[in-house]
Amino acid sequence: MKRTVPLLIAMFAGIMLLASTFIPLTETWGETVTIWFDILAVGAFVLGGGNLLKIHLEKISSKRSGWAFSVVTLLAFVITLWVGLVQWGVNPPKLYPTHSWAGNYIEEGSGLFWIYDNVVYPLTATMFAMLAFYVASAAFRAFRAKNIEATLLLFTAFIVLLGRTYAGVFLTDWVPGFMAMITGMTPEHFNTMQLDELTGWIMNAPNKAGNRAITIGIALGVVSYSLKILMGVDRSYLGQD
Amino acid sequence: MKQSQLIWLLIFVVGGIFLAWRVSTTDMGRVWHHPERQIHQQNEDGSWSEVELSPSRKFDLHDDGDLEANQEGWNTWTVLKNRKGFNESFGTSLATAGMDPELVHDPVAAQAAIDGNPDMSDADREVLQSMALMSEDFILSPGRTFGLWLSAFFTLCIMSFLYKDNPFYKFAEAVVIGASAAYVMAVGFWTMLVKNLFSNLAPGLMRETFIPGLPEEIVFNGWYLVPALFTIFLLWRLMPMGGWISRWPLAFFIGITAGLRLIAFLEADFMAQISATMIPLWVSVQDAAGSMMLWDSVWASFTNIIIIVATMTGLVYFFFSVEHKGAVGGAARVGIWFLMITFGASFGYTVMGRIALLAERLQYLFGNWLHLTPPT
Repeated sequence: MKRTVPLLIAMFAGIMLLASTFIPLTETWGETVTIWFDILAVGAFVLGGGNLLKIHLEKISSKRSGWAFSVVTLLAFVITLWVGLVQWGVNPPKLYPTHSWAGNYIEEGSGLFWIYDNVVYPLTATMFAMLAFYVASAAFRAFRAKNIEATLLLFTAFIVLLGRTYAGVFLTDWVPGFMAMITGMTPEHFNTMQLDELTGWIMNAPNKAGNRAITIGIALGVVSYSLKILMGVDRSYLGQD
Repeated sequence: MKQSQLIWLLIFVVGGIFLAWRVSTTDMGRVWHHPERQIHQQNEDGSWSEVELSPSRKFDLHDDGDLEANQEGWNTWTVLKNRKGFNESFGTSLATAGMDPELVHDPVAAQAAIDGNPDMSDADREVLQSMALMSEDFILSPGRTFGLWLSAFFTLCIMSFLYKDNPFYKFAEAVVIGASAAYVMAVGFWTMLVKNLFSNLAPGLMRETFIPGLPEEIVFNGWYLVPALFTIFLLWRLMPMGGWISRWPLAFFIGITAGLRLIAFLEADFMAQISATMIPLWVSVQDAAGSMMLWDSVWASFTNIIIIVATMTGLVYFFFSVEHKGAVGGAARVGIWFLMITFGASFGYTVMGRIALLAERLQYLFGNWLHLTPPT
C-alpha cells in the first residue's frame, strides 16, 4: 500500500497521458487529467498554507527567536485569506446582479485586489528589483577577464547591458555614418555596429543557438528521466520507508 | 549614540520633515476617486442587463426615484491618482474648446460656460460636462490613500536591506510570506476548486451561488471525486498519523508530470529546436526589383552559419560519451565559447530586467507617492 500503489498510480497516470497523445479516442482523458493535476496543485497550495500555520504557531508557542515576525506572518496570512475567500468588496456580476457571490474576486476595488496592489506586488517587485544590486555586485567581484571564456562572457554582458539602454544608442549612433564615409558604402550596411543593433543580433544569433543547445540537452534529460519514472526504474519520489 | 545611529536618526528626521512639508503644500500621497453608479434592469426573460446612463447620471449618487423598483444599483469608482493632473487635462480640454482653462477651479461656472458655448458638438459638451462634474465631486479615497502609503512604506522597508538586515526588512519579509501564500490559495480556490472541482461535483449549488452562468448540460461528474479524494489524501500529511497516504497524490503528480513533460519536451524542446536549426547556409536576400543584395545576403548567411555552428558545438560540449580530445575537444571548446556568450547575454538581459523593475519602483515612489515626477 505504501510503495506499490503509488508506483502503480504514477505509471498509470503517466501512461494514460502518453496514450491520450497518440489515441484520438482518449484525447479528452488527457485534458481531464490535466485539470485534476491543477486541482491537486491547489491542494498542494493549501498544504503549504497548513505547513506555514503549523511552523509559525510552533515558533510562537515556543517563543523562539524572531517569534514576533511569525505573528506578523500569520496575521498577513489570515487577513489575506479571509479577504479573498469572503470576496470582500466584490460587486455582483453585471449579468447576474442578484448573485452576490458570483462577482470577479479580483476586480479592481475589491479587497483582494487592494492587497495585491498595495502589499504583494510592491513587496515582491522591490525584492526582485533589489537583485539588480546584488547581481551587479556579484558580477563585479566574479567577472575577471582571466581567459577567453571569461572575457567572452564579460564582453557580451557589457554589450547587452549597454545596448539595452539609451547609452548604447548615444555612444555608437555615429559608427554607421563614419564607416560609410570610410568605405563608400551606405550606412545601413553598418547598422549592426551600433550597440543596440549588435545586442539584437547577439540575442537572435549566438544567444539563441547557445540556448538551443542547452534546451535540447535538457529535453533529452527530461525525456529519459520521465521514462525511468513511468517504467518504475526511478522510485526516489517514494521516500525511504 | 553610535555614528550609524546618528546618521539614521538624521535621515528619518529630514525625511519626516520633507514628507510633512510635501503633504501640507501639495497633493502628494492622496488618491481621489469618484463613486460611479451602475444600474441594472431585469429583462422580460428574467435575465439582467446594465442600464446605459449618460456620463452625468453615471456619477450621480443620489436616489433615482424615477427608476423602477426591480433595478439594483451599486457603486464602482473612477480613480484619480493625481487631482492636479486631472485638472490639467480638464483645463486643456476647455482650452481646446475655446474656453478659459482657469474655469477648472470653479466647476459650477465651468458647467454654465459649457452649457452656454454654442460652438461645441453635443458629444464634446457631454464629455466636458462629465469632467466638470467629476472635478466638483471627487472625494478623497481613504482606502486607496492608505494603500499608497503602505505600498511606499513596504517598498522602502525592502530597500532598507541594502544597508543591512534590519527589523523593517524582516517585518516586510514576514508580511510578504503570509500575504502571498494566502493570495495564491485564494486565487486557487476561486479559479480551480470552484470552477473545476465544485462545478463538477455540485453543479446545482454552484449555479445558485458562485457560477450562475454554468451551462445546464454540466451535470454531476463522479470522476471528479478522484481529485477531491487525492486532495484530502494530500492534506492528510498534516495529520500526526497516516501521513504516508499523501504519497498517492504525490505519485499522481509525478506520473502526470512525467507523461506531460515527456511529450511536451520531445515536441517543443527537442524536435522543434532541431527543426529550427535546419536552415540554409546561404541566404539570398533580394530587393524589390528582384536583384540580389550581396551585403545583406552575406550577413544573413553568416548569421545562419553562426546559429548552426553554435548549436552543434554546444551539443558536442554536452556530449560526454566521447572523451573531449582532438576534433571533438576542439568542437567542445568552440561550444564553450558560444555558451559563454549565451550566459553573458542572459546575464545582461536579467540585470536589465531587474533594473527596469527598480526603475518602476522608483517611479512609483517619486511619481505616485511624492508627486516629484508625473504619476503613472
